[in-house]
Amino acid sequence: MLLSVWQFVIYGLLVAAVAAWAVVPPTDRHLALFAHVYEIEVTPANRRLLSSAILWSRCWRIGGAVVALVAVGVIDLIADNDPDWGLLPIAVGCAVGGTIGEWMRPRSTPGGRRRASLRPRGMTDYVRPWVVRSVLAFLGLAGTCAAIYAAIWPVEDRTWPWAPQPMVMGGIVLGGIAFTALTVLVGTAVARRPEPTGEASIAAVHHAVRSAALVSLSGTALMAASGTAYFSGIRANQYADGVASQIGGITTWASVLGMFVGLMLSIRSIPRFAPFWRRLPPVPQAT
Amino acid sequence: MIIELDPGSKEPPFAQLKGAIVRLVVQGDLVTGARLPTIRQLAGDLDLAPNTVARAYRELEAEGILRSSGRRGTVVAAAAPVQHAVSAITDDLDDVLRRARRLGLDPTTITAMVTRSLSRLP
Repeated sequence: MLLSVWQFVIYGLLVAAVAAWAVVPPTDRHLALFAHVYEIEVTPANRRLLSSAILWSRCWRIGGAVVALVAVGVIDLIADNDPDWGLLPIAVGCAVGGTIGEWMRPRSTPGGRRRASLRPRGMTDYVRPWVVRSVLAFLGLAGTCAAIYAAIWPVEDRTWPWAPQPMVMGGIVLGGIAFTALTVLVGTAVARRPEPTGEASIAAVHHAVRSAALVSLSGTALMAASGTAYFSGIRANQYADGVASQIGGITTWASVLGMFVGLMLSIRSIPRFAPFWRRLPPVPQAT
Repeated sequence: MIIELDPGSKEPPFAQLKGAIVRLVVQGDLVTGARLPTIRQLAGDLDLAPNTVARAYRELEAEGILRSSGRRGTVVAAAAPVQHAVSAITDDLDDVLRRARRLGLDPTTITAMVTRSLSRLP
């Protein structure tokens, strides 16, 4: 138990260090990288706005990861297990924190202007269609594998992986679908957030921040959908036979790839590949 | 395509919005089938109540200019009704101007009369 407490202290210090880093304003290099990926120019007029927008996202994402790590650590300490250093709680906490952060992000104050673009905005205007199609495909695969699992129930060998009752499996898959839908709803709200059309460099930052948020949310949706597909796919693969098992196997491997890509999108990593998943509609210009 | 409303105008915002959309249709900037933003999006961007935008959309739908298209949202139904109306107004205006010229009024006087009439409009 003593060792567990020491481990927990070290773990807590690491978590505190990460949390402290979350509130440090982004560096010039970070701003330049963001500006490069979203094709905007950092000017004295928009620098502060861009910096605070990036800091907001980072605080919420890292905050979510820290809460998840603390929760897992506390649970492990109570259960007298070693702390779980795995990627899953970090990824889930980061994704949930990022989603809440986008929902809570302060709206730009219109300041008495009465100007607007007549271009409709939706999530698919900011992310490539394949991302949205992948989310739908994974949800379909999750449902198919859950149905296969329910059809072959009761299974003989329940040694690995955990073989839940079909009702429990259905509940977990429905939960995954609900979380994915929630993420898409937040994404739609973000896409429709008021869009300033005044000073060009400020409008460009709002536009880029919206685009970045939607890439991140689409990644979260992809992670949630592919995670759900993985959960049902691995069980269909393990417990079913023949074609049904092969569907489960394909779903499992595809969903591992989906979770990886979703994670990369969610944390907006690998800027070099950003054009493969994000779209940049034109910034509305006042005439 | 940016639309702009004048907060200081005596014309209510819904009427200004209607006018702005009609102008874009007449100019050909909004073609038949073009999608318009949702009521909530436009209301947020213009800092108006959603009901104000909804009223403008509703009246334009009643006039056959816009059409609610289920999943696609609100789209431009057809430019024809507006263009017909503009064409009819142009014909009427031509008649009036011809009568004025026949009475011997010069273009400057006619312009002043038109300006005066416009200023009397609400």
